[in-house]
Amino acid sequence: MKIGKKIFITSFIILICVPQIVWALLYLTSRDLYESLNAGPDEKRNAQALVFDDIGDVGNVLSAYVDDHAPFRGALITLCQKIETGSENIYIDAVSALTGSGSDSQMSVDLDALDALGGTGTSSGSEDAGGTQAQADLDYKLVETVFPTCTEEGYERYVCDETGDSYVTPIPANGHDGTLIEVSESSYTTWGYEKYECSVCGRIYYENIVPKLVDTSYLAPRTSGGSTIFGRFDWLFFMGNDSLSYYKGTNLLSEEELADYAARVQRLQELCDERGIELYFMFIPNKEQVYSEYMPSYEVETEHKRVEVLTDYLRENTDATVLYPLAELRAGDFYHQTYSRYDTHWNLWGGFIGVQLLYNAMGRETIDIADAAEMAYPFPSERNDLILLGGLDATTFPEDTDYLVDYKPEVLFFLDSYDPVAHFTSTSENEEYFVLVGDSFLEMLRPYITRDYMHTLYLRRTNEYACREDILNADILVVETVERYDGQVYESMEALIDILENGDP
Amino acid sequence: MVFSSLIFITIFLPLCLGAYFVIPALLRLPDESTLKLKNVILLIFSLVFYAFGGVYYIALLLFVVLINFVGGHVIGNSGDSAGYRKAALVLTVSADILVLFFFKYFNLLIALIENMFFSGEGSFFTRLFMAEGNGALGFEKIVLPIGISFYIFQALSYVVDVYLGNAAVQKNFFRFALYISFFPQLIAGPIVKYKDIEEQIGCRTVNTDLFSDGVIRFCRGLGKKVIIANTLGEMVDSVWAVDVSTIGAATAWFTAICYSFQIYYDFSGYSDMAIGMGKMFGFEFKENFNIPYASSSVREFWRRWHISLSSWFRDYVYIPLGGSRKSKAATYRNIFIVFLLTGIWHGANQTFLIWGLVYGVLLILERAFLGKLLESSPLKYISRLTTFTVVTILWVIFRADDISLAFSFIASMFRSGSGDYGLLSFLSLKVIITFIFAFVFSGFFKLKKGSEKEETKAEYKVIDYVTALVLLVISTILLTNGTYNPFIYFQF
Repeated sequence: MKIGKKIFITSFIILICVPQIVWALLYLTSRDLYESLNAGPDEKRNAQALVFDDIGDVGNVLSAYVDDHAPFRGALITLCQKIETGSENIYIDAVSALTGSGSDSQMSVDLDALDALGGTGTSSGSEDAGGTQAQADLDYKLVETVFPTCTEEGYERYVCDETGDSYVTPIPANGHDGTLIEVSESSYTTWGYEKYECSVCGRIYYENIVPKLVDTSYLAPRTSGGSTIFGRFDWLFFMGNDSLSYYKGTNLLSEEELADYAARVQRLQELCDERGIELYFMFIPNKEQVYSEYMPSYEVETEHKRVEVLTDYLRENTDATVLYPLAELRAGDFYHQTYSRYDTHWNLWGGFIGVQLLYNAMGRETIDIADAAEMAYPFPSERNDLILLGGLDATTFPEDTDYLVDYKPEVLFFLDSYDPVAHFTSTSENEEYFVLVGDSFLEMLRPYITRDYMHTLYLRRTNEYACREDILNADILVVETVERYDGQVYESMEALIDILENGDP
Repeated sequence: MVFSSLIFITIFLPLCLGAYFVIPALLRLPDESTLKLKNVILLIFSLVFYAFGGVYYIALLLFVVLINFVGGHVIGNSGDSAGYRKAALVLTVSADILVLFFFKYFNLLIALIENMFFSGEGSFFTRLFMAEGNGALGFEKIVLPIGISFYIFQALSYVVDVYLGNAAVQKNFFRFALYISFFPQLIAGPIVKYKDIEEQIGCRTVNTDLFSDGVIRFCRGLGKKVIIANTLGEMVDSVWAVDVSTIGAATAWFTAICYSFQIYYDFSGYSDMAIGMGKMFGFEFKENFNIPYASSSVREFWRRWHISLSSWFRDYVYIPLGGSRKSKAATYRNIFIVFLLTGIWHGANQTFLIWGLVYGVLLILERAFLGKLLESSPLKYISRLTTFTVVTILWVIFRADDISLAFSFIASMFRSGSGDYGLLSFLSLKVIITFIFAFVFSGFFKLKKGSEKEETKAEYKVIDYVTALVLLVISTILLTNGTYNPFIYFQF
């Protein structure tokens, strides 16, 4: 047994000493092997360096340094994440089998929400727009015929030679002569529709649209890393920044808080009006609201939640233009998903819808949403902050797709300064100065807006004072926020009001 | 620094073991000088260990060492002058208690004054039981130095034992400093009484038997802490993070039981690591836990749980007050006082006070009539289950941030309701497997209670060796995984 003891003690010493020595030797002699064994998920930060701000910090810095440079760290973290994700999947399958499936119902969505942008491109009917009336007992002659198209009505104009009186008889639009090119059945992850292509005008349109089905079976809420919620069909959601309270509707603002918020918005609106600045507010829904059908089974207290109540209140009690495109983003999913599956953010298709709704509110020309959907090209999405936050293995998740609309490719733009204050110049001829104050959700608006203005500025909140001159000189000022940061907008407005009140006349 | 960290396992411990064994071997000094050198090495490493938690707190530690060294010296060398000896004892003990009180309870005292006299919100009782103040008095919060409750109690045990003649005065400042600051038991016990270690500081050896036992013990403790306690703790924390008044009974009970296991494996794991490391350096510390969840009564529970603390209170509070030698009323009073102090020792919050007081009341009831009923019951598992249930409910009070949350949680445990799916939200395969292991090894099912210290037969020792090494490897992997810390640029 003595030899056994000695082997045991030696093994113990080896296990606590040798890995560090081997790791250090690998680093010095075989960097490639070191890097491959250290390859793990991208933590988007630098490893702790041996930098001491004060003597009291030495212990923490040394501990963090050792943690970040642990032997085979990357490989071990990757291994643990694979095991974690694998065991999670086993558990979810077992629980699903245990709790069974509920009845299916359809997703609740307003199919007309995008009508202002062209809607779902359904064949526009031959709506009778009416015409002018002929007077009795007069002799009219046909002088002009405008033939109808698939979507626009034509007319025949008759004139009386004697009196000069005229009347118009509308000719109904022909409607599309569509060829069925695709049929989709409604499921939990796909809409149902019939897709047609008009043989006359070439337009793509849809009929018999059926929203996605909703899996109403109980799905136990499961989280990882304190931030990531496992949703249905591999969708991930965020629970940080109190997002669940926004989702459940348990954090409504009081009347006093709403009035206070509105007072601030109104003051900012008045200051902008005095300076001739067009002001717009855009509250972007949390992903959990738009894709609520994929959330696990939380108890939702009310469907009329905090930011929806707030934006309704602001529209009713202030002169401000306030956007909260929840219905539009849910409807926009018909064409392509509007948020990233594994990220907290909306994607470039969702951002495009946001831009078009903003332009619609501004009275600017917009692109038909159905046409834009056809122009959107898919590419593999790399956005996955929820996988990183959850400490999950990205390789076990199916690929996600983003959709970039090929918007005004003839316009070039150039980055003059980087985030958190990003200034762009483009070859657009519109010289209005567009300034947007917001958060990371602005990144998905940027590829489009930047092409419509010669000068655009995107500043992250808390940088308002650094951009005082830009704000004072703006022609258009957009205050953007994701839903869960509505409180930060309240603070940001204080800075904007201060700048506008004390700026140059 | 904590034992369950990569810097301790892979840097500090190897360096300390290396210095302790290799340097004296290279210098080939005589035995007495070798031991002196080894003690100095341990003292240096202990101070470095403590400095990791805050380099300025070294001054506090050395201050405590100094006043107790001087106090013990004066007490021990005052000859027959009882007055001097008593005065020195009173002064030293007062200084120790003042230091402990200031760092541990000052914040709570300020919070109580602010809530009672500078806040109009809530009823009297609500304000009395609020642990946080409103900042009305403008005091900055005092940060609690790590381990202060443990090393102050060790210092107190020294001066009292010297006064009572149970221990000789330690004339060597460095040996005394080593006793107070020895890193294996400095921050989380066991509370080692000076008389139990006096001889070992001056004379000890390490052989392969002791060292290998120490390694086994250390690895088991590490596994208990990292694999079981941390895993269950994650689940417990996630339940406590929600509104506990909305959780179902199944979730509440499962979480409470998980916490019972978490705190046992965490604390006993730490004690195992401390005892194991002590053995590696030639010290034999007394056991601190003895399968407490196999207890058939609360009285038995406190003979098996945190033994070093309960024996400290027995020797230095209960017995001096008269113990159970006087009337029943006096005995009950003494029990009450001991458990009031036990509760307060655990933390500066009303929850700990109430937790301790309830135990005091239960022990009095057991002494009065309940104890005989429980311990003589032929249905031993019923007694064990009853005791475990009581202990588990009281751990809820211990765990809660304030007393209203504790009552809220306990109310959830007894709320009726069917079809509680809530538990499924908090479970995972990892938690279920860990829970099973925790339950099996908790000692609840042990037929013969025996001892945690039971030695394995020689022919099965290889199982101990392999298990220990496997626990070490798994724990290290989990600790490495725990360093994952992604930064997401969320601030927009």
